[in-house]
Amino acid sequence: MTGQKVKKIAIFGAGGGGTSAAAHLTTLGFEIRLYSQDESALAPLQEIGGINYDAPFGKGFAPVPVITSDAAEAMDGAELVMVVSPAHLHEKWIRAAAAHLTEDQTLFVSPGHTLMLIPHVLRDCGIENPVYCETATLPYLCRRTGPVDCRISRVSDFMVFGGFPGRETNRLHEIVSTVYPAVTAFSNVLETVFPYGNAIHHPPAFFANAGRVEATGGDFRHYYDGITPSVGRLIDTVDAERLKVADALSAKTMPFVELFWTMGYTTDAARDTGIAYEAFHQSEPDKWIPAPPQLEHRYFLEDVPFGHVIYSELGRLAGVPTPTIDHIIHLASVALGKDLRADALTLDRMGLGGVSKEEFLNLLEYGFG
Amino acid sequence: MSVRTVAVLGAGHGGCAAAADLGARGYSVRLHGRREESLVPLREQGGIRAKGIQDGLFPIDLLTTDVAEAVEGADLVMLAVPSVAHRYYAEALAPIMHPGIPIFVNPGHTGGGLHFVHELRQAGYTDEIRTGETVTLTYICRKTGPAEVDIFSYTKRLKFSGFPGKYADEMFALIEPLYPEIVQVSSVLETGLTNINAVFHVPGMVMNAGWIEDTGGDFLFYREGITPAVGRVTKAVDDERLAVAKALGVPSASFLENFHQAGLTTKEAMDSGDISRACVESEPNKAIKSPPSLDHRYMHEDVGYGLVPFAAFGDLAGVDTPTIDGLVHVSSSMMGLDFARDGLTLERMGLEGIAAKDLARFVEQGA
Repeated sequence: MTGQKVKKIAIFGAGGGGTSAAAHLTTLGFEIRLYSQDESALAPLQEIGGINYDAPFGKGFAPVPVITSDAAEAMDGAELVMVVSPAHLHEKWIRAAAAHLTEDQTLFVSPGHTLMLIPHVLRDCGIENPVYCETATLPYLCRRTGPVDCRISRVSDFMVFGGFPGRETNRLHEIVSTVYPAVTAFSNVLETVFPYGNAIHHPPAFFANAGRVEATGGDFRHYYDGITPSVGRLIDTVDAERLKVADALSAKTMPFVELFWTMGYTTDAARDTGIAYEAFHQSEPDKWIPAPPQLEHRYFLEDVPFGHVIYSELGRLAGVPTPTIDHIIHLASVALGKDLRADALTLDRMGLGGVSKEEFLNLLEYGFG
Repeated sequence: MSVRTVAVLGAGHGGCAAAADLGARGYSVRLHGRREESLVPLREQGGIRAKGIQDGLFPIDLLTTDVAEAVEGADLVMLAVPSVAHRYYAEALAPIMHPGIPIFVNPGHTGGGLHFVHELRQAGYTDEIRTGETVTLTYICRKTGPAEVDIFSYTKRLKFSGFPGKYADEMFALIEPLYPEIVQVSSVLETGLTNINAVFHVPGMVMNAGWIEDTGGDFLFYREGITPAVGRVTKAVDDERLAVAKALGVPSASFLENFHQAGLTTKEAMDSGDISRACVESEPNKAIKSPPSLDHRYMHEDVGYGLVPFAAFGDLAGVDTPTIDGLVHVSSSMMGLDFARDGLTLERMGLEGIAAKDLARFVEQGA
């Protein structure tokens, strides 16, 4: 790696996160090359040659010079390859990128929090000593509001950042922080798994509001109305288990409420209570977010198999019981009528079946080199 | 022997309904309440005012906070209290108990008779005992004021059993004249494992917890709250309950069969196998509102004295109950309680250390 300055960025994913990143980074002067396999999503953007944005930093049109479904074209000459997708698409995007990835390109996944999945897939694609980095959360609170429009309500001012192997974290951080100054270097990609906030609170909150979601088609505010004191207590119980797992693996992480406050989502008073109910009830940015219209939604479909299941698996590896998390995985599966462990991100799927805690921690730090 | 004098222990919904109804039908009633304050309005009014199947003001022969006084001369002692009060009454009764006092646990939910007898044994009573129990209360009723009760109806085709089983016929013969709607079944395991309330109340509460707390329960519990996902979780609970019953050799019918038999849903809805549909379309339940908070008997009784003993029977039978266990755990977390520890465990039912193959004999013999 030459340490050259990032000028061109390939963005993989043209959903809310990908289009928001394309718009935001264009306004910052980077040259963006937007890639997706979904040609119908790309077509309207190609037609106008960019994306309209409505964001805290302004409102306007961001011209994007390359909008393509050809990964090689998107990655050509890019110093940074940024994957912005839901966790269940990571494998697909990484396979698309792997064939064209060069040694001097930095692979950055945001949000990542899929632990060793990406190195495992890269190795499967023939890259023996994979290197990449990720954040725990998306850099934006945003959504795609139309075929050529995105709305960014917030640009994150704090993101937990980790590299794989862990010993590469600082070098990778130097590169990525020139694009996103809000990234804060943690030790490794284990420490980006634990602050995946959605995984902590979406499954319990969604389960405890499942009847209302179905009865009303989601006609209530998910956080403000749905996270009541009892629901908050359930989230607190999940969080306590997550913290124990992290502790047993010597991973630095914060209690959820602390994390939520650090990211600017709630008040000092709520933070002082340490209670999830207060954190959400006093969250101005989250207040108006509506509940999803049905249970077939990423709050279950992504945040259970790629969130709760990872915590459960890491708990098993660390010898820490996670009863609440395990029960919620089961109950959410029954509620949906779909086994959410079946396609989940298990240690097996990351190529870690049978490894010991020590081997796992060693791999995180030193990789396959 | 026929019953003429009944000691009714407990002056809540069930106790007041029983006191008014039995009084109206010519029985002598001796009513016990734990707190004098709850009896004062009854004393001042000169009895209980009832509406529904009985209409009027019904005097009560004795109102007392002294258990010994209440049971003096009674032909039957009816325990009409939440299961959490069983220990209190067992301790009060143990010193004055003798084999000639039949106990009617109304209702027993799951394992109520077993629990009460165990508490009596713990309190030092060693002689013979006869109990009978129904799975739910013999009345559909509600206490509407400190001395008023609405009695909508008797509970129809209500399953009844006795513990020990060897006295069950005798207990049935004693109680049936008071409550002709009761139907005798094989054992307390059968009444206990037919506790349908526990099967669907808990999924309904837990999966609507946010809605309940946000609106104070401002929705229709069955018609709106038992959605397809809630129905699927209910079905999983029901399947686990049926598996436990089957493993223990206890006759049992599905939730939908019970729901239909109780007149709560149509045959078409039952045949569809869709619990959500059966609840949403239930004519008798259509106007029933949600409880205003989780701090309600749908949780306290139906988790602690329903799902917890279901799981306990599952342990005894070697049958996994993951959905039941999940609901017990999540309910506990939400309410800051520990139902698995404080509810009706094998130990509290006096069944700890009993092998599955010995259960039937224990239930029949009482030892």
